[in-house]
Amino acid sequence: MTTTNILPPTTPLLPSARGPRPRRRRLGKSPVDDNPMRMIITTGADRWIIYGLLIVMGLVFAFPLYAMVAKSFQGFGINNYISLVTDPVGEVPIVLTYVNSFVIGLIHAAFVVAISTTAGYALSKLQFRGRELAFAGIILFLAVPGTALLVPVFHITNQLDLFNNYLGVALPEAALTIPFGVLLLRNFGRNVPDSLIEAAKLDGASHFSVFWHIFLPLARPAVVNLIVLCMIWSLQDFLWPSMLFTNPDVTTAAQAVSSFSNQLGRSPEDFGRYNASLVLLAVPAVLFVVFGLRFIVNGLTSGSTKD
Amino acid sequence: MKFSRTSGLMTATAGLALVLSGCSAGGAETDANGVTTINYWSWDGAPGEAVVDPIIEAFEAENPDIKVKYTEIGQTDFKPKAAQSLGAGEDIDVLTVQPGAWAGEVQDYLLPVADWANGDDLRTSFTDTSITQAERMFADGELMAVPVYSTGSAVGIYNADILGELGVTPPRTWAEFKTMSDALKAQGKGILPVTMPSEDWFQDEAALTSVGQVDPDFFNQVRYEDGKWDTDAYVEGLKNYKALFDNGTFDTATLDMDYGTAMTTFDEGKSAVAFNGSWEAGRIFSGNYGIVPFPAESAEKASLRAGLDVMLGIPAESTKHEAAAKFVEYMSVGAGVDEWASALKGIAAKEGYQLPEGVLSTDLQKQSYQTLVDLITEPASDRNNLGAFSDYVGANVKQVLLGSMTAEDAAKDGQAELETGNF
Amino acid sequence: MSITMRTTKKHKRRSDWLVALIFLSPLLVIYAVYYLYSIVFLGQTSVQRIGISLLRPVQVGFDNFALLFTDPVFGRAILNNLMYAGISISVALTVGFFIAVTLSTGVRARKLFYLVFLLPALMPLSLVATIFGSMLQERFGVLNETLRAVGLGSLAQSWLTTPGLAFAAVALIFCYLIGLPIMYYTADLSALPTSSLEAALLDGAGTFRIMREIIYPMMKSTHITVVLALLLGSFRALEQVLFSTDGGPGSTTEIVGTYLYSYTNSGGKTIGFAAAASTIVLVIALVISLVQLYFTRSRKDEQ
Repeated sequence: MTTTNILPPTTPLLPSARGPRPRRRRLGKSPVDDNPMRMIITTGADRWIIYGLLIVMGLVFAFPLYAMVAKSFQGFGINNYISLVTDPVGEVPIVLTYVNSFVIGLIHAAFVVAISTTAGYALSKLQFRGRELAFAGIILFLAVPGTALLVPVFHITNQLDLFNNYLGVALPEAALTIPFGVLLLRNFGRNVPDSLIEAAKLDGASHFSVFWHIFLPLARPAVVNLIVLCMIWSLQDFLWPSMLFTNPDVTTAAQAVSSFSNQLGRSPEDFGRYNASLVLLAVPAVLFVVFGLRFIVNGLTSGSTKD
Repeated sequence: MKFSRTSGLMTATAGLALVLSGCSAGGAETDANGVTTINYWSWDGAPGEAVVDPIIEAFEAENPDIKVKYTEIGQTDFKPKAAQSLGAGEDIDVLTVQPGAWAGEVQDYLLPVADWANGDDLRTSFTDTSITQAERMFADGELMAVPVYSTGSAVGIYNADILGELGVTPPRTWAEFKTMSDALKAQGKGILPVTMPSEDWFQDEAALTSVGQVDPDFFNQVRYEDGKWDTDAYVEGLKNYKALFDNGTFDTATLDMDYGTAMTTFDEGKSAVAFNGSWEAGRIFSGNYGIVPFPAESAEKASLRAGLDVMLGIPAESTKHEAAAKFVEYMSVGAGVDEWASALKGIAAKEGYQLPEGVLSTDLQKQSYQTLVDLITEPASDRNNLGAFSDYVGANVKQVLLGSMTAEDAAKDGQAELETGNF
Repeated sequence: MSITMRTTKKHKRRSDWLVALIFLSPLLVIYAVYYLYSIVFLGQTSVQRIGISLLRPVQVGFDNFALLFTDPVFGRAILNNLMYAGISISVALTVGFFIAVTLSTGVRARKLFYLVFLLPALMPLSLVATIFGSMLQERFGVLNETLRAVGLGSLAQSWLTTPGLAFAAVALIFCYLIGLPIMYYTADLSALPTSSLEAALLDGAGTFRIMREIIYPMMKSTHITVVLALLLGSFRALEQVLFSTDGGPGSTTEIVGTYLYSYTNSGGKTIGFAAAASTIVLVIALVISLVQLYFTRSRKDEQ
């Protein structure tokens, strides 16, 4: 995540100027009468203009994707792909790079969720002096770029003996995501009525049990949002794997873009295969949009509008 | 609500299981049969997997009690990663040491050659020049790694078919190059005269090759004698190089081609000459290709910078010094030499080495090889680069070629950067 | 207020302290290792001349900082970061907003449009930047080849080696990644109250006026999210430049990320210098966070 150009939504920080909302609708299924947004296109001419603009912008956006695919067939056509399957680049099957990214994403998410939920609970539902100061101190690191921590993290990873270990990459990723996670969960926690907690406490429940049985289940949408974002960021993270991994067995998808170009690209056959491997590296993102889009947009909404 | 416990737990378990399986990727070193496994690390061109694999195979057949596990890292990543891994105590038993600033950076991790079991014998198997060069890489002049081979840069590989069709001779001077470029233009097939890597470090190489024709001492002065970067010779050499672009001999449209694209373009017959380091010279076996020097004002002035490109060292922390030293010997003066020398990866540092009979089959190949040997054995100056500095000044070289900086300013800027002492 | 109640309250406060400490301890551990220790380590290293192997340090006092402040490229990198952030913010607030709104109106082939607009932001950024780098190559790049093929060869440019064009190319990459802002807008649009839309319709407002004058102001909090996210994100950027222009030509497209990355990976004795630069960047990042905290806080007080 360290390198994504988009930081997570900070909406929850902000007050909502909105009135009561209608029930949220799911993206992807919105019959005419169900979708108020449909009304805003008032004339047929406007509709054509909108289609025109969308198509033009769509073509602009699609051009690099087209370039990627076109390049991947240069030289030896489909054989570029076939030889990739039969003879993996640098002994690393592309599927393995997804698996590596995915596993790192899971660990990354596990740390972020565990730490953000506990901290979010403490900062929103526990009373102690210096709470706001502690919160500010934690959020202070929201904008820290991973590149500024390269030198020390290299040293830390060395000391912890975590080179070529999923944990070695997942931990610094988590450290950089946690400020956001805490922000999200604390703002979420502030919207959980204190009365719920008080009632449970009166029943003799400990804070730990309130956290586990009440806070966590309620926080589910925010947690799901966080997990999904962690997964995306791990898939995109180039910085940490490139610095901390040398073993080809743990190469991640983002890292493969550069390590493949190092290992290939010296002969025409390799050049074609390299371009084909780039296309394959984009496949998980395509699957994500096709099958997971609804999920992530819902996650964002739940996370950012539950105020 | 169901989510929090069941699937949360499952996720955590799955994650943990995968972490554990990831951790166990290491592998055993010595097994019950007394076979020692040594880890050999190198970058992709030194001499590259295709060449290394058969060497390892032959070595293992000869030494059944040793197994070699080869790790290859891309050249750009190799320097930081190998240095980091040494610092991290990674199991590395044989390490390719890149001459230049990097050798000094890792020397503290290396076992002096004198302490190798076969160190003293090995030392006498190399030419004196290469031993001197190797010693010069290390802070106190102690030999920490053995020289393996030398390369030079920049040289041109030309496509004899394209030149034949044009009816021009392989170009060696500025004028001959211009003739070739004009002929290509007139031919109208869209074949580029020259492609070469536009990476900053290579543009520095190309510029320094041109500077070396003006002042052969320039680079050694800077490197070893605290000489200045912003000399008249540098400015003149850079201007000569730029002139090649200005008068249409070279094409600025090639200045955004990366290494891979430049070489692929040449392989596909879309460019007549490819400039690169001599480590790409093995291409003469893959087509009707020959070798020419970087163009100079006159053929006698043609030169390049050459020097050790590959050395082999043994990390002090390795617990398998003996097996490692055996492999280094095999690779640097033993039967392994024929393998990489025949692929023209470099000129062997081994005393009195000759290519095996029959490697060079055509006249063009023999002639090209001779050109290469002549150039590399009598270089204008050492090719003992300063890594990051090379990138820095190389970026300026491109600015000059593209007309957004003057040669004088580039020289001054390089001098200022040199004085920061960062390199 | 009875005395008993007061004591319970007091008691509760004290016990919360301990509980809070326990709840915060995982965070404290990871912060201690990855932030506190890092900062101390950066401070130490920034006054040394040292290589990546971290051996044989030479104490050089504040020389590294002096070098840094006289290096025009560093200033250029920070400026570029701000410019790229500014450009991507303005595109996200206009084009991104427009795309999100129109796609929420239930146009046909919506899924395909979402795929095209969101895909770039979900791919590894190294991949996106690599594609741009190869696509924009002057001789064999797909863009120039396409232009030549359709008879527009005169429009073919040296995209990556002309300073202005290279700058624009990198800006384009930043804009190409506006997928997440589109997602924020999409998400918040689905929760938009319909009453004001209906009122505007009754007034006879046209499509584009509704978008501009009704919906746009209603999405204020989303706009702020987008602005902050892109501003903060620009300082975290690396691959966008590393894999397309690598900062060139010259230092035209250098950003903080590539600046730090290249000095860390140089293989020479530049680690102390990189640490000094990191320290400065860290300070800038903390200041941005402070400003952000300040603004969001004062907003709350208004309510």
